[in-house]
Amino acid sequence: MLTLKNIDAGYGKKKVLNDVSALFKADSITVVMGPNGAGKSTLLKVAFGLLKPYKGEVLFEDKTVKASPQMFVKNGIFMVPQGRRVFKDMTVRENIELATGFWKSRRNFEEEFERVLSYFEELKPFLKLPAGNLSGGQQQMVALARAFINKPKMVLMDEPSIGLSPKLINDTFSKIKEIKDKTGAGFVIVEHNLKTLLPLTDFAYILKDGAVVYNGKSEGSVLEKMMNTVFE
Amino acid sequence: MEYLVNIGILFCIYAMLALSLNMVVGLSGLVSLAQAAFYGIGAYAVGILMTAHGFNFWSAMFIGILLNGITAFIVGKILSKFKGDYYAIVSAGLSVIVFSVLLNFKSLTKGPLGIYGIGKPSIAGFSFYSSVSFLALALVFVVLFYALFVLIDKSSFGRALKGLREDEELTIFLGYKTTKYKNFIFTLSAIMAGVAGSFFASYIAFIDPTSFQLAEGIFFFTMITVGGLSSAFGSIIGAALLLALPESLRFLGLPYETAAQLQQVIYGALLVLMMAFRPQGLFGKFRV
Repeated sequence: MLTLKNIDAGYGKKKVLNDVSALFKADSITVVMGPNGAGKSTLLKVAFGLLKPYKGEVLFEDKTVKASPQMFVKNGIFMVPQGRRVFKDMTVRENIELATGFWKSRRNFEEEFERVLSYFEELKPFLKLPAGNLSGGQQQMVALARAFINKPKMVLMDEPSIGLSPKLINDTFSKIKEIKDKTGAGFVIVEHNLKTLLPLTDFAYILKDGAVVYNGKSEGSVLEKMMNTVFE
Repeated sequence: MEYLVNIGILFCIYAMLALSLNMVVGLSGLVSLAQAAFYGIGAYAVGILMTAHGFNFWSAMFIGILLNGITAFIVGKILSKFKGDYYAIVSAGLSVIVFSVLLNFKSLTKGPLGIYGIGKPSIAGFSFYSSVSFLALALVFVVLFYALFVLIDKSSFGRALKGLREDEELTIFLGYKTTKYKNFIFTLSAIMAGVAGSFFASYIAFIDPTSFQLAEGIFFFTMITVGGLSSAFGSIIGAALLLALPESLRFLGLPYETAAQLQQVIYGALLVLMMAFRPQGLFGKFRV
């Protein structure tokens, strides 16, 4: 679905990713873990076309693409950035509407809006409130709803757990799994360490010092051993 | 009566400028100090073409619009890469450059001597020579600009502008090419300021570079800050207030020197008071 092939990337002279390859599948949750500075966010930036790699290719549905946010959004790949970013002064509805700017026709907006609200029932009472007034967990739902009004094939999320209580982190991941099962969308989630929530995910990558040290199913003794050494 | 009509015409010109600037500063959150430059280009296009080349008002204004559009598009391409304070500084730079050109390109602009004898517009043989008819014509443009502001404010295009005003990076994540949006609204605003400049040149009949200094751009900025950012109605009120305040000083019977200085004091005090107690302006929906 979305493939990174032999990526070298970084900022100026500082190389962060070293020959990283990754394959993100639809209808599954892939988690990318690693200690601080391992290159997780950089990998996500390359995957969404926000950062041009020094070398290597980004493939979408087996074709090499010139990655850019505009291109990906049109093709059904969305990014939910770090820190539950919502437009705080806009209402919840306006936040979601703003995510449909590239639609050719707005005729079926109301229909799609109803559909996306059926995934996020908890947002219904707040549609006319400024998104900034919502709690952290609710803002995360707004950010997800922005992606899901567009029937995404894949959603990239940068550290969704930051600033949330353990219970809310749990709720958020259960929600993600629920939506994945309903829609068949793929999720790529970058997290520092997600040990307790691994059972909710399908695949895992572990990055260390800009290289992939584990990739495979998000269970098993090999993964456990690797996590113990990396996060020691 | 004639006095009131004259004030009305000046109000219309200021209102056009305030509406145009509020689209960039208010709707889009881009602190532009370039408005005086486009105001000046619009005024000088009409001044030069009507007095030295026999153009009528409308074709001269059209060329002014074209010139402003091209200038703004090129400058906007550079400006769109900046935001916040940097946007303000670079756009102020444009005002300084245009002022210097107006002052020093004497073979074209007559420099500090200015251009006089600029004519009035006419349509199908009817000349807007009388102040009342000129006021009516200017009012038509104010209404048009007001409608355009409201239209953009309510449109999905306007929503995208408010998006980039609040969080440009996030707007990019949602698939918007924000530099294009910034450049478009900047260019549109420049064209509107050019129209205001054309009306000013034709109304006053005499222009010199001092009317188009950077300080004027800051004065326009004060208008929308007082009236209210991101609000069409606020733009109008701001223009009216900043025009009415110094005019009302005339009736206090102060000596001319004192009145002139008091005017500056009032502007300054107004700006400080607004910033301290109501930073979004009287009818504003947004604060810088």
